[in-house]
Amino acid sequence: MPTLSIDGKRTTVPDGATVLEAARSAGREIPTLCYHPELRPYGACRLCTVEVTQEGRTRLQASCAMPAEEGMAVATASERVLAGRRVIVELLLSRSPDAPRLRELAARVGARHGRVRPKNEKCILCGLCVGVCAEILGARAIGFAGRGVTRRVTTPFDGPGQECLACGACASVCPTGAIAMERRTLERIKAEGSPRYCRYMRMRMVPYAICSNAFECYRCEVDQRMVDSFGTHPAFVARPARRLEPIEVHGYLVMPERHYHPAHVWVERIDGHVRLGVDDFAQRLLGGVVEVRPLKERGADVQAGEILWELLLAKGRTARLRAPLAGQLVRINDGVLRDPTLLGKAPFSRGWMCLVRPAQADAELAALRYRAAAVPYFRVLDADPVGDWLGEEVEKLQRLLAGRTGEVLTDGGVPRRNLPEVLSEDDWRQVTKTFFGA
Amino acid sequence: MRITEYEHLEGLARAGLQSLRPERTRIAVGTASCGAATGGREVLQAVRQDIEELGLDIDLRETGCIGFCQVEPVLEVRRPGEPRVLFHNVDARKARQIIHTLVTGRMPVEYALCWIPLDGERPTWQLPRYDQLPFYAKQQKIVLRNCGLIDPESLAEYAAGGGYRALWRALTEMSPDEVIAEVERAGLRGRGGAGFPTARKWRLCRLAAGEEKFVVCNADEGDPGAYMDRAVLEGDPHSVLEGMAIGAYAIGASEGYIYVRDEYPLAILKLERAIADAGAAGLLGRSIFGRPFNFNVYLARGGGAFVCGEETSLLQSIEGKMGEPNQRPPFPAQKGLWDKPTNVNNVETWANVPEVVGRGSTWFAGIGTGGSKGTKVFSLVGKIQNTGLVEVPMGITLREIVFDIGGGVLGGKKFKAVQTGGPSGGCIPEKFLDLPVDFDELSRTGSIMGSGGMIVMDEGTCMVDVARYFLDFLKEESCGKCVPCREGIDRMLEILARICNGEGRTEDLVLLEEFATTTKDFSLCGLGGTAPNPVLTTLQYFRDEYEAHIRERRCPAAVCRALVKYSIQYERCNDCGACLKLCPTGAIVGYDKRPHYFHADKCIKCGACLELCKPGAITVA
Repeated sequence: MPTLSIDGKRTTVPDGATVLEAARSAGREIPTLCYHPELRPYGACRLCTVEVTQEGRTRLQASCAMPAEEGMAVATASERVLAGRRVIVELLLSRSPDAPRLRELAARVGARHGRVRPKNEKCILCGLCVGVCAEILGARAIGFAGRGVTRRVTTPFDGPGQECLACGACASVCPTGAIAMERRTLERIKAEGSPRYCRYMRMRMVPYAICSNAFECYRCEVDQRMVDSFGTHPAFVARPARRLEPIEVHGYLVMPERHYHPAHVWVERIDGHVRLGVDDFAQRLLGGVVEVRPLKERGADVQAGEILWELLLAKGRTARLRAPLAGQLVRINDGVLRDPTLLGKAPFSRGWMCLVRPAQADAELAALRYRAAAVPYFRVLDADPVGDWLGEEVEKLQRLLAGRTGEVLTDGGVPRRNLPEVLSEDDWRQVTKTFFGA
Repeated sequence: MRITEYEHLEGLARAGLQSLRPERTRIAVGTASCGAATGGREVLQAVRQDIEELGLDIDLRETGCIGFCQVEPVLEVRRPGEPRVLFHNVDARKARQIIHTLVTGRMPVEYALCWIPLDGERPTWQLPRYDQLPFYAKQQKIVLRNCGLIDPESLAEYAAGGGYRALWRALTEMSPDEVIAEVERAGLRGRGGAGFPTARKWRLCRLAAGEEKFVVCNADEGDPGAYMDRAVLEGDPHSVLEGMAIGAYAIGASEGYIYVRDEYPLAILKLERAIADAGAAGLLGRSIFGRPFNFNVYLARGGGAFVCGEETSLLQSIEGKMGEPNQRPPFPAQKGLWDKPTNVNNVETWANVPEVVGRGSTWFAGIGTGGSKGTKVFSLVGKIQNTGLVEVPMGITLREIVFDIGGGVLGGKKFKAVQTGGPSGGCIPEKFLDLPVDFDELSRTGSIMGSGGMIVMDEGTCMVDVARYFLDFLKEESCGKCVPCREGIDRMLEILARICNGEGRTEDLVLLEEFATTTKDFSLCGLGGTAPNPVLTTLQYFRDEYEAHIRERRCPAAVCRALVKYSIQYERCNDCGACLKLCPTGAIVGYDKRPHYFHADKCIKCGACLELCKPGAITVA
């Protein structure tokens, strides 16, 4: 609980709070533009810059991204701060002279207008739309492209975005009205007569709903009720499972938005390919991996259930892992071959094993994410099956190891010691057979 | 062979010495990028062909950059028992003549520039020693110690100069904390520009929580006209690897990345070779010197974005993300590459480390000024006699660099300013020429040390145009994330372009100053934070030029096209008629044997007649 001084007023804030939050809790008004309480600070508009004095040094820092620390002295409205703030609003306003939000800001901070030629761009590149799409919805349908003055917000490769959920969250956060919902895709969906999934279903807030209002949400009873009761865009209510950080289930880490194969290989969908890796449960069973031996060459065709890798473990023990689906092996991660400890250190990121182009059509694969039951081998985190399944696995493990070589599991069922080292040859084979099917 | 004992290292060094001081004649041609660009490869080809045709017993090698760009391509001859002889401005024909003379047993000193002592041998011919040349007299080589001396592809030759002994010393005699303390006593500061104390950075990273840590070498040299890092990577790649290994040991890292721009293909080749050789010798990889220390180095190639020289952008780029800065804190030492504690240093800093640890802090701290120790490499370019890469002890004055080493301004013109620190540095006027060059003194003038670009400008340079040029570069290179940098640079450029076009307004200087101050104070990263320096320093020291542009619609240096006027001095014109025929728009009118005159509205100010006119009758003002 750091205590700092905000314009001379001593303020204590919770650990992890930012200077901006501290200033607001002390009743100081700092203008912001690219800041949103639900999003990670992006720090691009620099409007919230304040003077921070620490250890005798004074510097200008954007308060939204600056952690509050013990003993800081913050000046939120020094002459230097106010002068810069005025120029920043002037720069933004000359970019988008018609945005009401900016005109209002200009009036508030006393920014001058008309000293430079107006650009008449609607978007001010504050990044809120990109942030909400990636962090809240996990869709990543829009992002930045270009550099410097050519920077702009767009869909991947400027194409018709396949990732867009048409949820409208980006438009709802845009401060200048630069994003508008377009009709073309909706017209196409209507013309094709394909199922008209409601945007709440696409955002995974309701399991199944078909739109009966031709995607004109303002005519929809449900939508109006949702908006009324939340008071904000529904996307912001659908937290926190959307955040892509591993969560703990039965003592093991599980990464959201991935599929899990019963033989403990995770599957992540990337642009029509899938990336495979070893899940946390398996990591704990394996202990430290000494060497990764791929049994298939790059470019080889792989059948579902075929053995893909052999892992060399402590005491010369091995484990073999199976392919969760059929396809072509596109790439093998050199990183884990070079440094097998990556598997344990970064199981869901740099410790991935290989990239596969699945034999199934892309559309079918895309459907996995929503229709878990259609493919028996896959379980999806969103529904509870992963939790249930992991629970079963933990029970299996407890049964298997009960009474063997002393206590090796914690009460929660997490291995306490390096299993390949403490188990006998037979027991270890039993473990790999049960959990990896090999 | 894997090196696990000190004797192995000594054996390697002996092998290197043997090839450096050979029992047969050794010829080395400078084929780093600078040498290759001036024809070094053709020279190499010619020498090779001659050696084959004549069946000579000569050891032919390639070497890195010796720094003296003005005299490239260079060729160096070593004969047993004699010092090194450096031949300058060699071409294929000259190279052949050198070889043919050597065959007769005579040293062709008529083509030689200087001799360089090797083992105390004395020359038997009349030739200046290298440090009698003004260009080398005031230089002191620490970072460039091996550049141009050894074959960069030879691990043994690097070892011959004491290479990898500092790593041995660190690993076998010192604890990581002792290494950091040694670097701290030496007073080494980061050579990337800001001059942050290296030891403090290492310690922060060492103390940061986390098992996995990284060291990164910033080789994303992007300043226009700066090529210090390239010379080191091409001429002495092992010095960087050894420095990184020592740093990794001190910090507790086991992986290192070198982020090198893809526009340096030769540097990448040399690095790849060096990494492979060091790996095979056990100087990289698992349990180095048989000690429990693992260290691997990987190359990450940059796509040529200037902003990726900023450390947080650089790390994003290594991770495969868009190269954009993030606000610090958290600093890379706390949360860097893949969110692990990471230490980023620039090429020159890393190349200094083996010397600091190997020769000791006392020696290193004895060089330089109170706050800045050691040497600094500058690439001296622009309107200067001796273009080149110079390494000087900190504290030397700008005047010594420009006039003694650089030989003064080109063509006898008057000196106007020197721009240090690349596009984010400032222009330093003549009155500060006696300033000692170190981190603190340079920043007092409003400029920065930067990574070491030094551009000399003469009286024919318009300072408004210079500011416009650098902002134009920065406008292209700003990532566009934060408002003050993206919009501020664009607006400042707009105003400067207006002034250069003769459309400046009286309020423009106030506006420029306001935008520049805000961009400097409020930008997210160092790019924006230093971008206004060219504007601010020229405004401070050359305000009269801005005012002449705005008030009098006149460019004092006669550079800004919209503001200059060409005219003919009739008394000097010798009526030759050459300009008449040359002028592409027919703006010069005249008859034979009669002075010519200008049609002002037809003239496009291309300057062709100015260059052509022998009697100098055409003037521009």
